[in-house]
Amino acid sequence: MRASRAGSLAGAAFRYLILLAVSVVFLFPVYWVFLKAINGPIAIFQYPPDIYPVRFSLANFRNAFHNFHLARNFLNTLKIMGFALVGASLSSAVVGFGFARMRFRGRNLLFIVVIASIFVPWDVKVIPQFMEFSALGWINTYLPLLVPLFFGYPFYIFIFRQFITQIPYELDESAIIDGCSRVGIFTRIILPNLTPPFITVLVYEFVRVWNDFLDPLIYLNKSSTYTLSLGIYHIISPWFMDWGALLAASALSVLFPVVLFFILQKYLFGGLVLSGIKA
Amino acid sequence: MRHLGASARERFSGFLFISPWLIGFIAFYAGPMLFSFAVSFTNWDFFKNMTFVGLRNYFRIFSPDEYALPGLLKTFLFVGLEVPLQLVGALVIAQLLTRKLRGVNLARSLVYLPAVISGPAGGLIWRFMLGKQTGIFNYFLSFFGVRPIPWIDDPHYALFSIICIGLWAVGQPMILFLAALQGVPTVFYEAAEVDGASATRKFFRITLPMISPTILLNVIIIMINQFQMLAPLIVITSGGPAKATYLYSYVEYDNAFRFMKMGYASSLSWLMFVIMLVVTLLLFRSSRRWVFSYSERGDIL
Repeated sequence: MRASRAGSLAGAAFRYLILLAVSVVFLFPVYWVFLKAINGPIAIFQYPPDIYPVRFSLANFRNAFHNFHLARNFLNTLKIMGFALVGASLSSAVVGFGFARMRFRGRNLLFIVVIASIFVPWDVKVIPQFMEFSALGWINTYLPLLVPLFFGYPFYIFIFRQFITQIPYELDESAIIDGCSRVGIFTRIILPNLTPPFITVLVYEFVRVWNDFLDPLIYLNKSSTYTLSLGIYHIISPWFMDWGALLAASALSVLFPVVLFFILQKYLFGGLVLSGIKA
Repeated sequence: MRHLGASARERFSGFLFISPWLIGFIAFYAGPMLFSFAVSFTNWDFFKNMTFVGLRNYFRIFSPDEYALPGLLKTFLFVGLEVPLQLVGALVIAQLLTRKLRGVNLARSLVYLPAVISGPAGGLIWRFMLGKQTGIFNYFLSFFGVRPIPWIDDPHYALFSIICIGLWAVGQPMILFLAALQGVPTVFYEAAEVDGASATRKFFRITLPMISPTILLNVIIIMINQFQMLAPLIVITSGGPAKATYLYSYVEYDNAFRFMKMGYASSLSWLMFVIMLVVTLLLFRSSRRWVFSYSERGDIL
């Protein structure tokens, strides 16, 4: 009796130990970038390193803002963010409604195309798009990053469509009997019920735009147009690496999605799980 | 569910609602991709006039280009190692985090955390930690008497290090596995316990078959993500040292956006498209044998 209790206690302790180990392994890189960023420029290459905070200095951050236009790049990202959030979410909701509620020939086939295009790899679609957008003279503008979003983003269309199919169709029917148009059903019946998928989509889009690096890298060559993530990349230099500024800028760029993630993780996980469920 | 009859008007307004996507799909996906298919048979580089060169671009991938074929082989090696590693890693962690313990939700969030910090910041953190002289990784290893290892500065280690860094980002497949594991009806386990089945037997005979649709989904998602993996290479190693991490995606990127060889780059990207299409279809084909489905419908989406 006693032995088995001790055994289960050891088992629980072991499980907590594993939990702790997993958490530490995944958190450590984030902890490390924050620690190094606030430790000041002299501690960057200190060896052996202190693995807990011993001093505090904002010099790395000052350096990053002063020498590498962090504030301007940050504003550029916010500008793109505003348009991207509105465009991607609204257009995807409209299209998702069409796929969930309307009946027309070829609907299922077209929806399969939507799902297939979620999986089209970046390198396959970006080279054709680059040729198109350069022909249109959109290089060094934000148009290549924004315009396609206003035509529905396949993964978000999928999320909205899945959610709308779960709203009882009786609601639509009674509205139709009351003489409501299809557009009216969307704006008055469906849209007010779409808060959960909207939050999921907005969080996803925020993280995507915030971290988007390859598209800005290709389309934006003028330093005045750099986004936050592109600006961080351009701090890298083959001659002199200002690791202090780099880590400070990285810490700042990591901070926003991490905070947002912890506030809204319920919705993020919900969307992810949804994407794995059979339609 | 009872639908009102689909009138001509409904059909029209149906198209109206999905028309943004349809127009965008033709204008930004299908159209440009067809154009790039045509361009892949030319030597276009934005400046020269387009000249038809037949299949020369496609032949060039396999012989005169000294980077494309080695890059493709390295990509296969990379994907071949990364997919099983991420899959097993995600499943093991998900299995560890299914228990109802205090703090388990926080641990799940922490495992998922790296998924929201992709981009250059994520790569730079690793580049910094894996430095040979002052990196924290080698510092920890020095406790065990290990001499400094040139993780990303040596052609023999660099690709291996990139593969390991990829394991940090198993949050997405882990969450999908977690949901699948929680969806397995507990009655199956209870019945197996009555029959005296061991934990290993329960895992291989109940858990694995029950979550096999999620395994297939994760294999496909991870595989497609890893075939196109590029940002960490640009940020961490720039394709080096000595081209050790110059994967196929990097060859595509350089030809398209640095050398502006749009004809050749188009053929490179179409070859990748075909390869991934074939691999995905083969996976779906094979899935009929190993993916268990409740409804006997055998479809995943």
